[in-house]
Amino acid sequence: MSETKKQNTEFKRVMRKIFRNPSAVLGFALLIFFILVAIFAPFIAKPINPMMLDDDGNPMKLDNPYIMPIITWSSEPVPPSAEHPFGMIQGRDIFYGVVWGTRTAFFIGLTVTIISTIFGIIIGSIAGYYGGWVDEILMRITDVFMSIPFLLAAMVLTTILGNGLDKVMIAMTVFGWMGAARLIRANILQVKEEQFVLAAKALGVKDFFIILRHILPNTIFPVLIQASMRMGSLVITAAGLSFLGLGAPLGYADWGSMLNFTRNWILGTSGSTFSYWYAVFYPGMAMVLFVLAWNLVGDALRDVFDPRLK
Amino acid sequence: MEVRTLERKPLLTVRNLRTYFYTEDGVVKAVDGVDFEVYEGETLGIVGESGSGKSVTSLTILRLLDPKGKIEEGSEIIFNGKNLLDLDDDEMRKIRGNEIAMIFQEPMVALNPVFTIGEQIMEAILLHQDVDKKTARQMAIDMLRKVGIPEPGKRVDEYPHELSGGMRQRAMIAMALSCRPKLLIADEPTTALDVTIQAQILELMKELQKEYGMAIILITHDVGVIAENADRVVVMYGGKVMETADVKTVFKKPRHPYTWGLLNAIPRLDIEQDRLYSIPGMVPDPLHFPPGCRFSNRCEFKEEKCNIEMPNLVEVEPEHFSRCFFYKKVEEAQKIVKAGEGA
Amino acid sequence: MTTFIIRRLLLLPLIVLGVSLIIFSLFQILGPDRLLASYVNPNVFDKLSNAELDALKEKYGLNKPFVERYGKWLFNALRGDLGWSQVGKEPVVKAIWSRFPYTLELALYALLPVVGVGIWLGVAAAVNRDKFLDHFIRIVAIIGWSFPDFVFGLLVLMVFYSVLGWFPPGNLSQWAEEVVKSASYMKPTHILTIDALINGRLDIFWDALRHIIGPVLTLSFLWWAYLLRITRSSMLEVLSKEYVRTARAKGVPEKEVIHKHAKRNAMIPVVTVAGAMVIGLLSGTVIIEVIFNRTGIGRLAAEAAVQLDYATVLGSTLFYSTLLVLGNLIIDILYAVFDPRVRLG
Repeated sequence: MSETKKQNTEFKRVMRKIFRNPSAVLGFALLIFFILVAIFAPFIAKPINPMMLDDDGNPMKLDNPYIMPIITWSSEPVPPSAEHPFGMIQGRDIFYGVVWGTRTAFFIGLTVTIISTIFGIIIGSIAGYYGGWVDEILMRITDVFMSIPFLLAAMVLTTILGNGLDKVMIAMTVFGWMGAARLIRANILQVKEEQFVLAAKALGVKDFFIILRHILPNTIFPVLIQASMRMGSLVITAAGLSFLGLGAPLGYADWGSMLNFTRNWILGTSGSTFSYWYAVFYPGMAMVLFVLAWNLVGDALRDVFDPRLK
Repeated sequence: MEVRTLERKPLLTVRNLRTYFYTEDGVVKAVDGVDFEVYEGETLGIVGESGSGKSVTSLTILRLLDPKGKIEEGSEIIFNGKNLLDLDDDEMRKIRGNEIAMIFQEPMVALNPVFTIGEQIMEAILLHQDVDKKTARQMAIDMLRKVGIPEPGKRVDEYPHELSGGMRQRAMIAMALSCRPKLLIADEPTTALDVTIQAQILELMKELQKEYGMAIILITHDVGVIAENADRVVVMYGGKVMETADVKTVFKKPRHPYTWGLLNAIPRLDIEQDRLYSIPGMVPDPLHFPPGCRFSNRCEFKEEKCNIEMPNLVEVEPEHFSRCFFYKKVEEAQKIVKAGEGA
Repeated sequence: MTTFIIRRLLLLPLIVLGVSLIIFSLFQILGPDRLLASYVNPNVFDKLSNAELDALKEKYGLNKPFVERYGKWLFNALRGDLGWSQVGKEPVVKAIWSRFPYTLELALYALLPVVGVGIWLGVAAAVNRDKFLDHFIRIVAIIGWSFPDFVFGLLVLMVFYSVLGWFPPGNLSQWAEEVVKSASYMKPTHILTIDALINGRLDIFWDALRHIIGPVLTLSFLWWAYLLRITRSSMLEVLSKEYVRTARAKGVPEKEVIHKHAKRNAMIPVVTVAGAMVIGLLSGTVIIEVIFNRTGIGRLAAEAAVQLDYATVLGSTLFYSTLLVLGNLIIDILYAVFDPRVRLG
């Protein structure tokens, strides 16, 4: 069979395997749902400010749709209604926040995952390939980085760099590469001694190309699986930081930030707190489902490559 | 090794044994109607390629099958007068390791890596015999000595990974024989070992067999091992018995094309061979057996009938059975080969 | 085995040193102007002239080269001085140490259900593979694993506090606080529940328990799911191994096959992964203490981060890292206990 045909049947086999599994289907379905929400956010939740009208009497478009517009003067949570299906809190529409928060979640997750994974692959590849004292030093550094609990490390950096989603993302990238590095290093150590690598070396292929074209394709998949699992936990950490007030500013369309609002109301008045359930429920559920989607997808991918662990 | 007569009662009788595996892709008829007997004190060799069903047969006897495997209705395994398939779990457990024991191919993976070999032997003893721990430990050490492990008092506290391959297999034998079973099932006991160690282990098994008066079912794909160690032979292929007789007869007078093929495939030092013989073709897919004889697609002697009808086991001479319509052809071919060599 | 432990014990201070170096270096990004806030109350800055500010910076050595400053800091740290905590209004070391028992109590209590339930259910799921129980357990587990801890915590507060009034936030009820603060109350461990038992005050014990259940539930919810998944897949792998079949061939009863032969081997990979769990539990205390308004190092660190109290942030991060490294050491030892194959060296 020609190369492309082989890849096609392999792909079909993978697809069939994935779709036999109901949780995998659910995961992909959820993911597609979120992607669609993110793409069509401007249509689902219009980025307009109903409190500020322009000369024609139409609501003005927002400069930055990620800053949730204040649409009511009461800061107390308002229950869901036809106009505001998820209710309002601190003067802002929860539905709007959840919808645009999807974009934020993807943005944070993808950016941090991609950059930190690439960085991790580079470090891990160098350590694994060259071995010796290069490996020792890099691994000790990795050990030290891994000895700082992730959330605290991110807190340290946000304290230093200041608040803001971008600072949070930098923090998570700086402290998020170790897993990928270790994984790829372990895989490379296994593959390094394989015949085809020695053959390439004997042919005089430069080290860099050996890593790139021979080793990486064989070792990349576990790293990808790990990366998809991390999407979920990254979003949780970022939301946690926003929740603590260290991440996205108040009023930003970010799920964690929105949950930060609820802190005033949850502990303040006992007894009536449950009537504010929607303020916790909708952003909370969005997060749970988002992370669930990535976890299920990661699981499905892992089942494909290691079926006996299912 | 004396030849036994028909009048003795067999220790183990297997009748119409069928073990099927129900998988996602279909039904695998791993063992499809197998009959044989094992008499006290003798060694029955079961020989066949991988996929012939020989291992599954042995696992079925002790009812150690994978959950997907099912022993079909109509199968009988009579041991000491009782049908093992009628026993419940508790009764079966009393037999395992106690009256029937089993050893496996690769001792490194068949022994639990987190327990010492002493603990593992003692476990078998304490399960089936009414002794205290101290006695059990002494029995374990004695057993280790018996199987030829030096410094047994020290070794008893070591872990499997601290022993060499040959010693691990000896330890497995010690564990299996610790309760003096009447029947030992040895599934490829020497395949994973060096040739010199192989000989030692087989020698050891023969010694212990004589001392304990125990029967052995020796399962292997190595025809040479069978020749040296078995009293009687069962040749399996495609889940069925193809030929069975005592060992001398099978080797001197094979009456089945498959047996004939196996014997011819053994490299010989005493005659000139330009090429080594190997049976052409491949084992058929167990999900889709052909309707007729399962060996037909690789058989030198086949005819039309073989593709359509499944032959039964026929007694070609006293205590010698073959499942082939045309065993006479094999007889003829054998005569020619022998004549050619004799000259 | 002992050489193994000794080697790791020697590495421990080196790693903590490395951590301190990294965090300290990161803080230097702030520059001398902002670092001054660690030593002098920032509210005063406006009132001082530039010359006075420069003099202060000189006084605290903020213009000196990095190596000197790190050295000085390290020297102080080894003497037990980590600076002053604005949030706690006391030395950093005291602030951390006085709050340690509370965080410890939380983490230890959370560890119990995580390990107990996680492993138990993981084994059950593996043994009943693909049956209803397995699917049910796995669904609950993956939902648990996807739940952010603070969302769950908020939900717990909503349901169990606002609606039911069972698990209030905070450490203790008002009346219990009074008793604990009094001089006659013995506080040998400073752990609320244990001290209550030592003092023979069952009422305080129950009160403390009521307050800690919510946080414990929240903290452990994520992690028992994690442990369950690892246990299940490890158990599945072990159950397919040959030595399990050997055990059955010996006549070992099925229950013993699973719990004695299989489980011990299955625990080996679980233990190695437990390191990640320790990190998670430690990080989790930060958010949980904030949500439930409990005293602890986590809340201290969170408040310090918001208020830009650098010394406290540095100190608590260092503390958490040390705990983590210790935790990893214990895990490595456990690993050798479970797997005899690694004991030689």
